[in-house]
Amino acid sequence: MRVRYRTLLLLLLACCIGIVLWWVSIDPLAGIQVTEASYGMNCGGKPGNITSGIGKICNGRQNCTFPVDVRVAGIDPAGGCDKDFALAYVCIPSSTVRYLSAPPGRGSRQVFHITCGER
Amino acid sequence: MLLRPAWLSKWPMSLERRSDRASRYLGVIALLALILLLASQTGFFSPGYRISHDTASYVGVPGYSEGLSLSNFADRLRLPGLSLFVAAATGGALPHRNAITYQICGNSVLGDQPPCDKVVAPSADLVLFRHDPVVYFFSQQTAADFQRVISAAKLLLIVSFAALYFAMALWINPLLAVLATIALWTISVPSGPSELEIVMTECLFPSLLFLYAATVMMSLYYHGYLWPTLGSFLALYIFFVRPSLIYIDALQVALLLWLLPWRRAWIKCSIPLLPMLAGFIWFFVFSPTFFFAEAGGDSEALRVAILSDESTIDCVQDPELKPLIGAYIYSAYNAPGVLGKWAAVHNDIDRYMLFGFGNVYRFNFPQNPIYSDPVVKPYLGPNGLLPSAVMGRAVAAAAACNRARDANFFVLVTKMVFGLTQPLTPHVPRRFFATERAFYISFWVLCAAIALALARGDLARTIIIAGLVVIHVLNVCIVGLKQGGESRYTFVTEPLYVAAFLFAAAYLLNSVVDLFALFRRRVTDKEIQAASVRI
Repeated sequence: MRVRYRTLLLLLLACCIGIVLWWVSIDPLAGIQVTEASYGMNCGGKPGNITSGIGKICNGRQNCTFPVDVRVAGIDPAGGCDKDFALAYVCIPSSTVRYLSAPPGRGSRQVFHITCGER
Repeated sequence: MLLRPAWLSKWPMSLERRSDRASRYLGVIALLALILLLASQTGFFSPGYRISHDTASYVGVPGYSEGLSLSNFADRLRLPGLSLFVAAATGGALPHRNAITYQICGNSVLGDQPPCDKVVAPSADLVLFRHDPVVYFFSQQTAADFQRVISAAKLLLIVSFAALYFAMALWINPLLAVLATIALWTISVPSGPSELEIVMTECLFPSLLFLYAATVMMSLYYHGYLWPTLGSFLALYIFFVRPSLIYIDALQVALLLWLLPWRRAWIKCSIPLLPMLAGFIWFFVFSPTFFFAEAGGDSEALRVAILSDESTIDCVQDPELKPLIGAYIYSAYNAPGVLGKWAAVHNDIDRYMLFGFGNVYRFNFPQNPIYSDPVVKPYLGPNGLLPSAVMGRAVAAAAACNRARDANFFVLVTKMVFGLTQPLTPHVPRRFFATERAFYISFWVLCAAIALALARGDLARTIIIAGLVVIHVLNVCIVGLKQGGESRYTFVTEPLYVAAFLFAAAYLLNSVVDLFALFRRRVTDKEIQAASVRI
């Protein structure tokens, strides 16, 4: 095999190794995990009543934009009452808890955004 | 310019060309004996078969009963590969129309029907096979034919191992080739029920790929036209069985262009290309199959459900499509089989499995939860369903807004398949890549073997090792782009990666032994020289 082709192929091998090492370094599971989400606690709603409702949309993502309404939450803890919203989440692999909350009156069909990027 | 050290040129080329036929034939006999022993201990020969949801589409094509045309073994979704094998294994008894009938059961996107365990066969002489949310019925004769298909597939597997060994023994020490092939059997052929016993395309792998790999090794050794032609037939047949492996045909074309002396005899060199050329002309001009269009649309719709949130809706430019996308991505979580499992969603793999098994992307069923959202009413067609063109536009628009998440999902799926994440789902069991160590060890052994082969100017062995790895890596990449990493897609080519690793390890071991022999010979030569000087 000519030296020129052998050199090119060895360089190609080196590139492939570099790509694989870069791919291995990425952590695709790093992201949001919702630990507790509460909707309408001011109206008698239970703490953490929509944790799975928000988690199903946001868990595993680097950033998440979601509305808080009955369609997403899956429940309406108190019809006719302006409901507040509170959220606690972590950004895997960190265990630091981050918080987000909204007062009553903003709880129906407001859109929220959370991220694991720099705050 | 890479200079070659002098010591490298003195490295004995004992591996250059092996033509010890006697040891190869003895090796085949030893290999078959060992395989039969292992197989009998693991229940490989035990009777048994299963069918899956797609089986009906393969065995329900017209078959011989409507003529010998290749199109009678294919339909809109399926190319004729598996159907032809089924026909050969059953002597033409299968396939035929209505070989399998079915009834939808339980509560799913497909319909709201009585529970699956309450379904009974329409007549007593039919075999009933439950695969929720569908129950299948077929005759006793068809059941016997299914068993014949699985038995033929198992026989083909054993033959393919023998062929692979025979070809490998041309390039590495025959004893090492036997050991590598036995190790390959132990790793790649599971004990107990597996995809080898499902009447699906999976039962033909890795047999077909091993046979193809054997023809490539023979082509590189013999430099004739027979083996390349056989390889082309196999590459075409592999495409007919599993269209997602179409890139193997591209690799075969590249191999033929490099291997054959086109400048000297271009007419003769065209002969190995003819099978693939004829096959693809039939596929594009005469076949009834629209596989890529259908599969691509379903895959894209599923990914939109997995990866989208409110930011996707905001990103889409067309205001007509925004409500439709919102209805789809939020209703998907209310599908039967998904509702009630929200707490189980921790990442996109969980979403993929829930939405995939929940059939949330099947808009042609009125039970799809998207139709319970009043927002979609203005979009409905005369049949009360969403037109495929409209949903296609909506899905494409949403997919364009999810590129970053799509890339992350691709990395997640590929790392999961190669064992670089913790186990995320029982639908992706692990065989070779049971631990991270398996990936790292195999990766560095492969790199070392390829680097050594290149440094020694051994392009044939480089092609063998790299080619086998590339086939598996490309398949995993396609799965990462289009699917969610299920083992039914990746186990098809994983044995090729294992074969490449074992071949590379044997090559390195053989090279180390040869280098040691060279060192000892140099030491002995120096001692003889010193003794003659004293005399």
